[in-house]
Amino acid sequence: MQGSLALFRVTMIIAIRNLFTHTTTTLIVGSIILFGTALVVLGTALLDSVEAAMERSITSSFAGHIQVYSSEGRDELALFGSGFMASEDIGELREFAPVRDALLEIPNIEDVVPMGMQFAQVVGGNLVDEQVEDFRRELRDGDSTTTERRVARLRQIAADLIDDYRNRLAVADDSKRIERAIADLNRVRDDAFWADSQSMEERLLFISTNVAPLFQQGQVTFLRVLGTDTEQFKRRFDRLRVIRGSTIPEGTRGLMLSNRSYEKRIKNRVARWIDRLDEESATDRSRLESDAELASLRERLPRQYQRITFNQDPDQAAELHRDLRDYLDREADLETLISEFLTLTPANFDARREAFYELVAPRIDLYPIKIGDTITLRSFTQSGYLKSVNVKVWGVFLFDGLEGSELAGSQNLLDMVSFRELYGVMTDEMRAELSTIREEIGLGAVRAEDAEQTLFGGGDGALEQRQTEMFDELEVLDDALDAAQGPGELIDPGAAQKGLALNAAVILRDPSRIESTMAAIRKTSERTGLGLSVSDWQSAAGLVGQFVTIVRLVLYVAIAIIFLVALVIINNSMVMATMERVAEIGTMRAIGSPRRLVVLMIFLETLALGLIAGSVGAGLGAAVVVVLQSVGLPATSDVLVFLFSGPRLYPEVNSTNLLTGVFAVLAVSLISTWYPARIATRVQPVVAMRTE
Amino acid sequence: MAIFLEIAWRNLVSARRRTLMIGAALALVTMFLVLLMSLSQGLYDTIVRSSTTLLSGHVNVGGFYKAKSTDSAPMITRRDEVLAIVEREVEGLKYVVDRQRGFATITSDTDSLQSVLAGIDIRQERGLATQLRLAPRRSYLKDGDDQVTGDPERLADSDTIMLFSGQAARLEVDVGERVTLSAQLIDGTVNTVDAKVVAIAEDVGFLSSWNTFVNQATVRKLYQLNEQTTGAVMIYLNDPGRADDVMKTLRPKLADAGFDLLDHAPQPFWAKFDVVAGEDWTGLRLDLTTWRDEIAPLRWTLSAVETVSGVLVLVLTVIIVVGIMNTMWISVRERTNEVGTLRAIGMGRREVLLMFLLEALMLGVVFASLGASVGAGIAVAIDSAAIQVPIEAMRAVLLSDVLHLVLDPAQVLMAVLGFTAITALAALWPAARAARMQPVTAIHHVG
Repeated sequence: MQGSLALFRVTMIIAIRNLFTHTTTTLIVGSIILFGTALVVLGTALLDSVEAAMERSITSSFAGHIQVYSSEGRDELALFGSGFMASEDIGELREFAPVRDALLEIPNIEDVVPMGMQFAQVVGGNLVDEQVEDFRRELRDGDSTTTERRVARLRQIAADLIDDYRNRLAVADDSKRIERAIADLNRVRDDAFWADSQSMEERLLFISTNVAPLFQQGQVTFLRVLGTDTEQFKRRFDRLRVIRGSTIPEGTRGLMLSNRSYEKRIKNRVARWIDRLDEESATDRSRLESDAELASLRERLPRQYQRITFNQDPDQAAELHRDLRDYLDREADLETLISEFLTLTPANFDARREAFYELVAPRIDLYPIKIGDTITLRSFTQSGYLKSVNVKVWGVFLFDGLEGSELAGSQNLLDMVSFRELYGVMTDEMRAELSTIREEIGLGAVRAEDAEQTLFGGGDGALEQRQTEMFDELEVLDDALDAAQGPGELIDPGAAQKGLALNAAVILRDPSRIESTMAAIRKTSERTGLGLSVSDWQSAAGLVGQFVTIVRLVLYVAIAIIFLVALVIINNSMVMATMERVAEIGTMRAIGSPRRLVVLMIFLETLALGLIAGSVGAGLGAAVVVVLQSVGLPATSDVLVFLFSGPRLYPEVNSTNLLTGVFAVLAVSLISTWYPARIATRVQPVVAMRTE
Repeated sequence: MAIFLEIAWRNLVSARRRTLMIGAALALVTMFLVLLMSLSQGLYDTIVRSSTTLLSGHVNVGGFYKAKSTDSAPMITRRDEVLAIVEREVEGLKYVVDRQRGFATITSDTDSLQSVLAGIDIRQERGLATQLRLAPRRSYLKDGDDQVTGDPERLADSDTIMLFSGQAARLEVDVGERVTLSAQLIDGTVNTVDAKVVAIAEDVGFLSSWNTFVNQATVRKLYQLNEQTTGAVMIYLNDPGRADDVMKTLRPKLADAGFDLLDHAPQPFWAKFDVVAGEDWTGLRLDLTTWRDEIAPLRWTLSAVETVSGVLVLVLTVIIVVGIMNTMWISVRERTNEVGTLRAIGMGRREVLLMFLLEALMLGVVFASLGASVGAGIAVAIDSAAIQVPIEAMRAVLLSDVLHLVLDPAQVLMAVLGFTAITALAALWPAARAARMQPVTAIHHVG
């Protein structure tokens, strides 16, 4: 025992001495090992951090740890969308309550939150309708001071619309319809209309029936909405923080917008552009000129002045005009001044940005949707029909710690009852309501199940049917439904838990036991016949979840290729080193060293080198990660922002990364020593004497 | 000279083990380089092919028509005038088409999906037939056979549509059945048109899941537009490489004919809605783009693949250079005696240098060629095996359902020459050391 230990010691000493005498080989093999380990540590640490960032974004924003949905759907659940531009058919959990009750019996499950997702567009208000409504109210109140201004405004709107419709004549296939519209608009614009014997109320009726439908909101805003039990959601996703307004009060319908939607989709476009220029040049304003994309954004900004003046209140416009004249110290019309104000350079950017929020922002519709507004959401149902629902906007929220995450900000919260309407579920009450309305507007008796088809659908033979007229009827219907269930109306607090959900987030007590809990859910589903599909957060995230897998795959393939080549090179160098030492090995053998000792010596040599270089490499890799952790790795492209779950990634290194690196390199160096060791064992003692 | 070649060859052969080992490493790296290059070339090829089939011509004369200043409808008027100018002014014109641009929900009895519509006149579309293949029924019907039905030529009939097989599978429709197109008009109303499926084409990657070809008059009817409107005039050239030149020469010609033009911006038309809607003009402005502009958002996949393979090749090159230097170093040391003798009998320093460099060059040429041939063989084999990409997100990144590798002979040649040069450079320092030695010390050198 003692003898073999001593022998080991001697061999070890020889091995280490060899490393020092063959410096070139040692340096070459050492640097390859060092580099390889550093790469493995750095690569796996970065990837783990990206994955962790994404996991945080996905699980603590709205996915939960596990998602369950019906197994009847044709598509797999993809919370952030799949490749097709279609709403996924993930089936329906027709009754959510039994699913929840069954799952709550599994010990590791803390809670089950009902959900449903839909892509909706915000339907803007109608300026003409708003004007007419205000005017009518003032007339009712006997306020005649504003009459002159109101009439002037309506005539101006009509005059503007005439220009629109003239332009439209050039492209339309049916000019008669447009000519009719122009005739109506001309009538409103002309003095005769306001001077004739009609009462003001009759005139307003003409305007709201003939002119208002001609006014169209320019662009539509799209929102992803997530219907859920808002109370329960707040409890279970406790990073949710309200930064404007309030949460949706218990038992009330409503919508909460994500801060990301509010700032990046709804906010005035000029303000958004300025914000973006600010964010992306935060560290270095000269990027406003050097970065091609920012430069082109900056150059196009002055031409966007109508985003400021559009629909601006005349008083506000006058104030803004005055202030801008002072600020820029020159005389010109408002539009010229705004253009000049928006001409930004790296030098004036900070001052202009500040002035924008001080002078311009308070005098425009900075956020076209305000807290407390009631907005109309419109969406296509699964069968392709349009549904709309009016909801009150209660507040704006974000998730603490996930402010920068595109994923966490992608959904807006809607109460479950409104969601079901938007999705197109018919409750018994609504069916009853529908049949009454149907009789009133004389659509004839149809079965309740066919109501949607009859009201919205083109029917089988309805080739190229224009549905414009049909939609007027739809609106009547919508209004009636709104009257039955107004946007801010109270609902039964338990309503969200009763009835339909599309999917549900499962919150675990111990998130590390995700696999076994998924198995338990599958078993429960089989036993009770609930027919559930189960996904962990990563596969529920759809394409997004697979992204990390791809990057990991690419990294592993790259590391494998590099190691394969490194293996050959190390093998090469070691063979050379062994060949050079043939005499030495021969001498060792001649003085009685057994073969295995020679092999041991060579292996120990690589092992020692591998350990030293590998540790230094791992340390180097870890050091890079630690530096990155303190400064943050900037996301330079959209794809990276998305992968990093924010503008910067703060990676962390863990012991697994280090061990993986060192072990991988040791394995490679040992394998590459196999062949040189074999050569060494073949050396006969006699060769020691042959060489000079 | 021949004698030097002979010496170099003899040296390589006599140190067979060393030569084979370093050669194997060199061949391996060249092989990986060729594979990586053919992968990114394949990706480039896929992007170009599917984008110039589905989204864009080599040069496009698109534009926006605004009835009011906040609009941004992607269409142009005065179609015949634009077509005439293009046909008259563009040199090397292969053919020109005009396509309506639209976006609609396509509904069948069982499902619906959203898709970009290209309203085409099939008689103009000479390239489409060669680029798209019709899909056999089994690729979109559960119990379908190998039969191919349908005929793209029938897109000449009104109210017709051609789907891609993925879309047909989703909608569960076959050739001859009807689908409903519904689109939102500029005034917010929804208009619908029924269309008959006349052909179902094989998918051409990710892009084909949201693109559809429809009879041109049908799209006009859907959007209630007249015959002088179209989405964009797409120009196909004999030499796609001239796209930028053609765009530049066409701009003034269109301006002379009285068209207003937008400044060139390297983005696809749909990325410009926002900017256009913020500008204060009304009426028509033309927007000229090349196919590169229209696929700008897809280019990150290409640059990602190129970055990854670039870094990988760089790392491998560094490792191989270190390896070659080491080998040459040992070779020089082993033959120090020999070098001394050669120098003593009158060989010049330059000849010694040449001898070692020739050895490295010979090693480089032989093994880089070997590696490149193996790599090329593997690339061709993978490509012809049409391996299905297993991960959906990977398909999205690669824009293709199968792994597509394209071998560019020029690139392969570059790889071989490049690695030969790198081998020679790596050998330069050890060789220079050998050449600098004094004959007398060299002869006395031991070991």
